Amino acid sequence: MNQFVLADCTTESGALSQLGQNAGKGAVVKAGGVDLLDLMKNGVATPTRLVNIRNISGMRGIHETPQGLNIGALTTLTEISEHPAIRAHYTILSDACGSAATPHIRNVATVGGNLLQQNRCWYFRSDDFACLKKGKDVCFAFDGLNQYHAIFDNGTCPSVAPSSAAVALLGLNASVELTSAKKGKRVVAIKDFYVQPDVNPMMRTVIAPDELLTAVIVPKPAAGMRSAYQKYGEKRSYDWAIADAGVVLEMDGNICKRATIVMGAASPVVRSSPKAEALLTGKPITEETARAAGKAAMEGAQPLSMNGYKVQLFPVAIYRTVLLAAGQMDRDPSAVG
Amino acid sequence: MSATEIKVLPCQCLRTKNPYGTTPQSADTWHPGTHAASTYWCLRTMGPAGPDEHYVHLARCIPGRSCYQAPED
Amino acid sequence: MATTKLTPAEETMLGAAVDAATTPGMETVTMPYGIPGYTLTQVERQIPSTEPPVLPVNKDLQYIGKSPARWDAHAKVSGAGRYTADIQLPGMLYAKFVNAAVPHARIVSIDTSAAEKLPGVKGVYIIQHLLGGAVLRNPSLDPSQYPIVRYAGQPIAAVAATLPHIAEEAALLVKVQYDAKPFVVDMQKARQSNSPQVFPGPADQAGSAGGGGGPHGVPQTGNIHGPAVHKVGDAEQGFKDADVVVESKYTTQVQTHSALETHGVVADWKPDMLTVWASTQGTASVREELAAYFKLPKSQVRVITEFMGGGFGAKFGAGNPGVVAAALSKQTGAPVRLMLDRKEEHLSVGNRPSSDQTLKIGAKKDGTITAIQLVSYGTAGCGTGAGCAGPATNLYKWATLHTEENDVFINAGPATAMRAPGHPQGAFALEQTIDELAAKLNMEPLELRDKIDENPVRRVERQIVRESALWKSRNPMPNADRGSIKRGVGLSQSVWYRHINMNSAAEVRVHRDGSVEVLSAVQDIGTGIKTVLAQVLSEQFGVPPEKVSVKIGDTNYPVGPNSGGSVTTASLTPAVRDAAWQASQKFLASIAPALGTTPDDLVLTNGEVSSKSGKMQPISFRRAAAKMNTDEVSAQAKRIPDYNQGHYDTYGGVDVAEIEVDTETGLIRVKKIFAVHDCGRPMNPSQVINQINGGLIQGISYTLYEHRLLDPNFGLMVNHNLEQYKIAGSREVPELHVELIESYIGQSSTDASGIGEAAGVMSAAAAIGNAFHNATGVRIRTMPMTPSVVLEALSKTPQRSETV
Repeated sequence: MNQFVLADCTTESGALSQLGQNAGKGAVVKAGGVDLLDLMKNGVATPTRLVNIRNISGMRGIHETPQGLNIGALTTLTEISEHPAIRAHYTILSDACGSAATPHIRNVATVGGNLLQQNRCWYFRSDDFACLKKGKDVCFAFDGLNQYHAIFDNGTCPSVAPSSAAVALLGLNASVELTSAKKGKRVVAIKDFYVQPDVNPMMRTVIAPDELLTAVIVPKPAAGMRSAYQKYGEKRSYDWAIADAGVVLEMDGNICKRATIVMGAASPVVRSSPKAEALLTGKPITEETARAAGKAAMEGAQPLSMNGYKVQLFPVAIYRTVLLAAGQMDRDPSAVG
Repeated sequence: MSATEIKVLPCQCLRTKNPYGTTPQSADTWHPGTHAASTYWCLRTMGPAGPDEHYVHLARCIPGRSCYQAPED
Repeated sequence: MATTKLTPAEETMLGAAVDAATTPGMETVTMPYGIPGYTLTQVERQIPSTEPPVLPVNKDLQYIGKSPARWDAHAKVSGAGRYTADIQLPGMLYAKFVNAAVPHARIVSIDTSAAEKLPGVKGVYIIQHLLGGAVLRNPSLDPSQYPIVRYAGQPIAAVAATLPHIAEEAALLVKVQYDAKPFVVDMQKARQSNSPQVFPGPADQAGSAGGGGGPHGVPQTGNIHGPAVHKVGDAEQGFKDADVVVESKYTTQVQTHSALETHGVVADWKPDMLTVWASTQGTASVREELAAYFKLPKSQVRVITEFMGGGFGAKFGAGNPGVVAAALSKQTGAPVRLMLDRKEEHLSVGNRPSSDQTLKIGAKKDGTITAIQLVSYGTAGCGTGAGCAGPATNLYKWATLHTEENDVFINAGPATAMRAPGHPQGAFALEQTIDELAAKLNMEPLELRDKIDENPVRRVERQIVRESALWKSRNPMPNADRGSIKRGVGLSQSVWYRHINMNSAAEVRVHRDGSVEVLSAVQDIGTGIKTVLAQVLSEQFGVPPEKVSVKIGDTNYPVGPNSGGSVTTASLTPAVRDAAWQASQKFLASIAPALGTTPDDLVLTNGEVSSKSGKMQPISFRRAAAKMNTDEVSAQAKRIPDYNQGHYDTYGGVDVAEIEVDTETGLIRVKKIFAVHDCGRPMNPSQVINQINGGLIQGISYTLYEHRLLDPNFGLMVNHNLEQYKIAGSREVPELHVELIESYIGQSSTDASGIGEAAGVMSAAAAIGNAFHNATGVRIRTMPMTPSVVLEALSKTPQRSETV
């Protein structure tokens, strides 16, 4: 790990001013520090200045508003997963936050940090390999070991989206609030927040160097909304998803008026599957329709040399999560969480 | 592997953790292993290659090898 | 040893004391023998008359065989226990290795100037190529000042600085110029004749020394060291004699030891004494190697291991950390700490070799095995040790045997011994094949094993399994569940061999203030030998374990065994009991006159000294000690050979796994393990069960998750952490139920045996494999059994039923 300056901030404006002054000069925001410290220890991130926002109390907390939810960026995953209103009305979000990492990590990891963490790829995360995501011109995963890599949108950089929370928030059509000292606040929908690697492999999100992710905004649930998220890992304690599924259904009786189906570990950016969604829309939820949706979600999948099993796994994750959301199946004992 | 099959004394620098070599009543913990699951290293290099850059093994660290040192030396 | 066919215990259990009465210094005693509740009987042994009285079975003892709290539990959980990384010495420097960045290269130059200039850097050490009188094996190699790099992560140099982060930064500033050579990290490619050579140069022929059959006769061809051939009888004829033959290929992966505490030392080189704190399984082995390496008398090397965080076979000898830290300490005149990080731990200090096995077994209709043939290839990286024929050779009775074990060199870190070397690999193949054979013979798995395994202890263990609720709940019909999640139950046996390390000694002291202590250089690698030694003293002196002191882990004390091969308790406790017995006799002789009686009238129990004849009222041990005629009495004893020498005992168990296979996701969940094990006299049953629990968890982790992954194009490990190198966590641990049997063998003054290797680590994979077949009707022959592997197995193999 390189030497760095730690700028401890206790107010949002203090942090914004730190960022404004040092943007482009190696300053990096540190919240829970979970992902950042790993990257620093591995020599992948080498910031000269850490702007520590961990202790800004104003950026933490879950607020129920007439429009829905406003979640401070420093709210921990545990706080979200255990919040009664979220558990009752935004189950997909409490499921997702509750199945990330480990209880210890969830107690310190913030939702903002979770959304901003780097993608999973062992080549990117090792200082032994200088790859596309580090500004070089080669990806090592295509001809190398790619069993955990992406099966969609993997033509440039097949690293996978790491955040369970992002799967849930895309499913809920949520947005993030970005704040800078110069330009004030802007709100960006999750679906527009992440950048595809073929646009710029080094740019994970649209956040600017002087911007702080200050809040997550979740719209009010539609009538008849039911939702669920399930994550599958090789292990149940502390593992990354090899497949996961977030499902939001707007039900009218047993007829699905609208469905959203989202996958995380399938691609570099969390993605929904309109084809799968269309198969459920206007239909009753049954095992048959749920399985058909799971299968449809794999249309266009392009597995690499070692990750073909994911094409088998995602449809199972999806059909079981659709049935869970619809209240037709218990939580899957094979899933994490 | 009976004792009579060991016809040569291995190099004094041959080392093994010796999962099997500690025969039931042996006082010599560094008595070289006699089994294909035994792992070896060289005292002089602390690695699996000897000073001559060939691998070390009970079958190899024997008189005639250029880096061989007899146990009594 | 492992290639010796083991004789049944019955053959040698009697007749030990033919001429006891006429042999001077020997006496005949009667010892418990067998399993209480099943086969307990007595055996006569001729033993030295200086030996302490025979111990009865555990139920008749007060401290041995009971489970007092771990002696150092509080120190461990509270953080008070000092591990090597906790050692802080005045002026201590922190060292960091510079490791090879490429898998195969000749080092052209090493430039340390930038590192040396960094403020805080006090020393730089470069690992030199000490050619001495050696001639390079491969004449085409240019002589180099530095050793050849044979794997990425190989230590090249080290720096020492005043703070850890300065050392880290300095290590990055060392510039190494490589002349890269072709490399190979894939075992299949390495076997091909056109592969890059890990050890280039003329190959060695078989029989270049020694005779055939043993390791002396092993040839080398390219990257293959092998085969090591072991033949008993004519296996070809054995297969002709068979009514049924089963043959399959099995593949296991490389596992790294991944002990929580990494390798490391603190070395303090003073002119008259080199003191080293080491995370080691053998204080004796570290001292021996440092003395030999630096040409110091052993009396000037002291090795200390107060607390130790796991080794699993990888922590013997000084290693590169030991010699480099000592050299840096000598060079800088300051103590030097060198602890490896997790990446180095994965790369450079050992692993369990992989295996590709082809196993063929032939049997008669009644189950009698006519032939076993095993051909194995495995890689121990750039070292040897991938043999895995132990289980095939030693678990069951056979008429003929033919094994061929091959090591395949690749450009990866060398293997070191790992918990039951070769056996988890071998058992994975053997125990599934035995189940397959049983099905073909229309026999129950236990029925066939009863036929081919005459070991009386395993027989009792199988009986316990047969009567267990879990085994009874097994549906003998494979693939019986109709849903996508299928339940299966399967079993596997394990075996390990009784080894005794004679370098086992202890001193016991009794002080006039009533305190009692035992001293031995032995290290407690986490198994609990400290507690066991306290129990042995307690039993002898009649005082509770918390009242005695155990001082171990320091070569200033009498020599202790290196802890590997399941030897520690079996080797050391008899020496400790002998010393305690002798010290207690001296103690009684010292106080008897003041108590107005004779030593043989006195008894030590319940914290008191009492008189058999009633000549005196019982007094407390402390008050009695005050009557000693000197400040201290002591006795030192060393291990004497086993009472019944020349007889090999084995330890083992029968483990049953219950699993659920999600046939749609390919995820396997181990729900429960029922494990029946023996380890001679259990000295502290709860600690033994701890070890079995640990072995089972490590075995499950190996079976389902752990896998060292090397990038084929660059030869670098991609999962050199504990995140992508997946290791079982709390939620992967099933319900574990261990049934421990007492098995007396009449071999020493404690009759203790060992448990570490037989403790589930070798049977988990095969038990899960057999349970997988029971659940799905499909054989899984590849590890680790990830969803990818499971889905592949389920899709390729037509679901069929081995009957039974």
